[in-house]
Amino acid sequence: MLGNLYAKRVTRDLDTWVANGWITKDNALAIRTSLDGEDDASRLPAIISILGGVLIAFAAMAFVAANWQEMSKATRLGLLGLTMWGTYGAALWAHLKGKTALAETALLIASGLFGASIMLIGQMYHMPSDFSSGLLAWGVGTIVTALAIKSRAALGASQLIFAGFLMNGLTGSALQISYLVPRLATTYLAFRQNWAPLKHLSLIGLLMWIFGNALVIGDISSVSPTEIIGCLAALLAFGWIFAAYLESKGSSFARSTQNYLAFCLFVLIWLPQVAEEQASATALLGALLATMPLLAGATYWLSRRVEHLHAVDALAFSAFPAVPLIQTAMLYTTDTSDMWLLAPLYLAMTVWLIAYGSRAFNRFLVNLGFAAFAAEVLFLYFETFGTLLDTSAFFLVGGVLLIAGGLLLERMRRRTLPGKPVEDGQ
Amino acid sequence: MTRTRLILGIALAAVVQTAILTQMVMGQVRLLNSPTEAILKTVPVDPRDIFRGDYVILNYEMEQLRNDRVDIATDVQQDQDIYIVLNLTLPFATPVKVLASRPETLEPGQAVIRGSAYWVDTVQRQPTDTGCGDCTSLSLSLPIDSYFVPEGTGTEIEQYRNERALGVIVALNEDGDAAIKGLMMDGKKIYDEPLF
Repeated sequence: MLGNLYAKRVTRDLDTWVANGWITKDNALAIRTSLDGEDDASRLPAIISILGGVLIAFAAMAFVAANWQEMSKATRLGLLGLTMWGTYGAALWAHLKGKTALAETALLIASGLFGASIMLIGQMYHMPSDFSSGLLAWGVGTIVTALAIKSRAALGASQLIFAGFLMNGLTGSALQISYLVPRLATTYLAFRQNWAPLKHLSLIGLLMWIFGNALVIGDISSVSPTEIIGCLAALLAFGWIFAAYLESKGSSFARSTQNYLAFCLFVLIWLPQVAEEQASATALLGALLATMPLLAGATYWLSRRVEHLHAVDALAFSAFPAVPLIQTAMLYTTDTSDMWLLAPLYLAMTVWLIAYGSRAFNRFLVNLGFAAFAAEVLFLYFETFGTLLDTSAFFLVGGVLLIAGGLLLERMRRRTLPGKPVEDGQ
Repeated sequence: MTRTRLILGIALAAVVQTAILTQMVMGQVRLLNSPTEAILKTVPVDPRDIFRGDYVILNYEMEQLRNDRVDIATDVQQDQDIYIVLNLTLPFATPVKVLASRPETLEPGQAVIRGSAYWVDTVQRQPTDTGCGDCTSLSLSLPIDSYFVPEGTGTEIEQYRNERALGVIVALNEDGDAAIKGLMMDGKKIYDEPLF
């Protein structure tokens, strides 16, 4: 339905564009033909089939709770094997008949049945409630399907299963290292199959792993939250520079990667403004200090190779780990965090982000810069005037500021937004 | 993808998944075939926590130990695997020693079961009449914490377990791995798990 709406809108716009002389009639015809070629209606049965597959997989899992004690264990095992192999047979048949959507549905059901079999065998033999091992085995089996048959459905399912494995394993007492191997495998396959949703899932999964383990490190070691923020900021900033380089080399997902990393970074460097824990591990602070010239050097070096990366950006990238370091230094000297040093620095970083996004023709980064700027101003307003004004005046002034600020920012944003249309990643 | 590659790919996926499931089953079957058996005594728990669906949560008397009664090695640490040496006495096996690593040798009539220490308390307290003033206490969990039962029979087992002594028959191998073989009530086997 959305596809049809889009086609109608483009068809209407095409007439205007031709009338204005922006595109030729031949171009307009080519675009119309391309839109007609997209058979949106045929996608609906495929989506319904996959949803049906998900329901059947859930039904198989719900079977765990059912009473099937009447059957012997051998019968139950045979039934499980037969159902699973039968579903794979159905997938093969559908593939050979050219019914790809049906085949993908069957593979999804087969993956669900494999997971259900693990649970049922655990139940049959009264195995311990070890969810992590069960999810790992399920994920490994499913990824083999994704690898062997290049199945997107199986790969998507394995990504979700491994996400569950990660969440279950992050207990606060141990680092979740074993997740990295299957995560890298699914990421590799997602890029090999070149399907955008899977790439996004892969990156989100990888970021979840990094942040989840950072929280665990905070729980089990003497490393303070600001030091962890500093390390994460340095890591993500290096990732951002590398992604900018990959974008210049034509990598299709590099722009989206930069967007994710920029979003995480601007959340991270905002956190020291509200953190009050004192730093303790000086060795790590020294290492963090060393990342700043490294980041600056890497940016400067790449600025000669990446068009939108300028030498001045080296200052901004090296500032990412500096924000938590400044906060740490202030906590050591004054025992309190000085918002009036961190806030201007944060605002300066948002202004830089807007400029950088504009230069890189990256609409997301420009919008992120404006959103972060507005959020910081709002935060400062709450922090400063929240206790000085009475309630009604506080909301009145706040409301006026929001409306005026919103209008001003929107005007600035429209002026700043890059004129050159560039897709926001994949 | 060619027809041959497709057939091979699907066959590979099905074979690998079947192999994983077979490994799970055969691992348990090997364990259940072990000649060493121990009967462990369960303890009542809050009835609201006993049932989730059609299985019984099993808590064991030996999951709370103190070193005035059982020898607990000093290198036993929290969140680590531990090895509990059992005397295979009747009607229930009794723990005699807790070690951080698997014992090299066992005396006749002994077996070892592997568990996990989730709380080691070494804080010294004032001695009391009943308590242990300066000893280590250990809370552990055993990997045989649930028993699936036929639908509708859980309440009966719960009642038996809370009123009298319910024993869990456990098969043990040399590494301390354990698998539930059945349930005992008043010296009688009330459930016996077939291998297949």
